[in-house]
Amino acid sequence: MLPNVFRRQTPVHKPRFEDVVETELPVLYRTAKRLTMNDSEAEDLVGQTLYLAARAWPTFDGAYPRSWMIKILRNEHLGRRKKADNRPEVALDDVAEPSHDGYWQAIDWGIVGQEVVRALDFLPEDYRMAVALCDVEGLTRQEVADALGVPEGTVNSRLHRGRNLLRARLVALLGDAAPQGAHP
Amino acid sequence: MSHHDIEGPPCSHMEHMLHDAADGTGRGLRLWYALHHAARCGRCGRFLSRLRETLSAMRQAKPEPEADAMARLKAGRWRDEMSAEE
Ligand SMILES: [Zn+2]
Repeated sequence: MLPNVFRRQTPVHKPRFEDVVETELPVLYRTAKRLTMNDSEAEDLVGQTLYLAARAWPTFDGAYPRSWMIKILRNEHLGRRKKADNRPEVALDDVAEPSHDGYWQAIDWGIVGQEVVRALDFLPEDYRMAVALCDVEGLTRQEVADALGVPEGTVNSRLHRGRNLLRARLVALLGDAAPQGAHP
Repeated sequence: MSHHDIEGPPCSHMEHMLHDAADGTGRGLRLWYALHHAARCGRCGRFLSRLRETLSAMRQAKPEPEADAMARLKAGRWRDEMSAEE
């Protein structure tokens, strides 16, 4: 993966904003829902993101519009939360290590599907966003780093820990399907 | 190898390499080493195959947003900003 300084030097054909909206809207909406956990707040957040992005579009170079727009969305979300001051951030060091009990075996992979995505909602926000953007939306780690404003190494560690938390959550959620004696 | 032997966390020194092997970002010697190890170590082999299944489930379970919300957002006030630019 090329570092940012090299990637940004590549001349890009700048797409039309309308076309970017058409392509990126579902990703923005799903990301907003993962941040707000609420349909109407998510819609409002995406509406404001599109407005801010449209205003900034003339000065944007056109490279990586997906991570650029997610960055605007996330900054707007953080600004709103700061104003509301009602949801203190969970310090990442305070998140308990996922249990090793019933490491994988409790999961009946035939019934997982949507459960995986639902289980994502229980992860602390920083882990949830890393996993959602990389593993659900398919952004590269560099794009996620750009969107979240953190180094790529931070994305890697949040992604790996987030997947482990997700696994533990799935085992807890779906553990009833475990064969007898699966838990120690 | 007993059931118990493959159910548990992977070897700790392999974990990052296995994540990269599972999601396709692993390359070259690191990828080769991860796959080689996973083929011979029950826990790491299980970890890799379960992680691949989880990742594949997540990709496929991407929910389609509600059509009405999409339509409202496509017609939102950002359009005024764009026409002001023209
Ligand atoms: Zn191993």
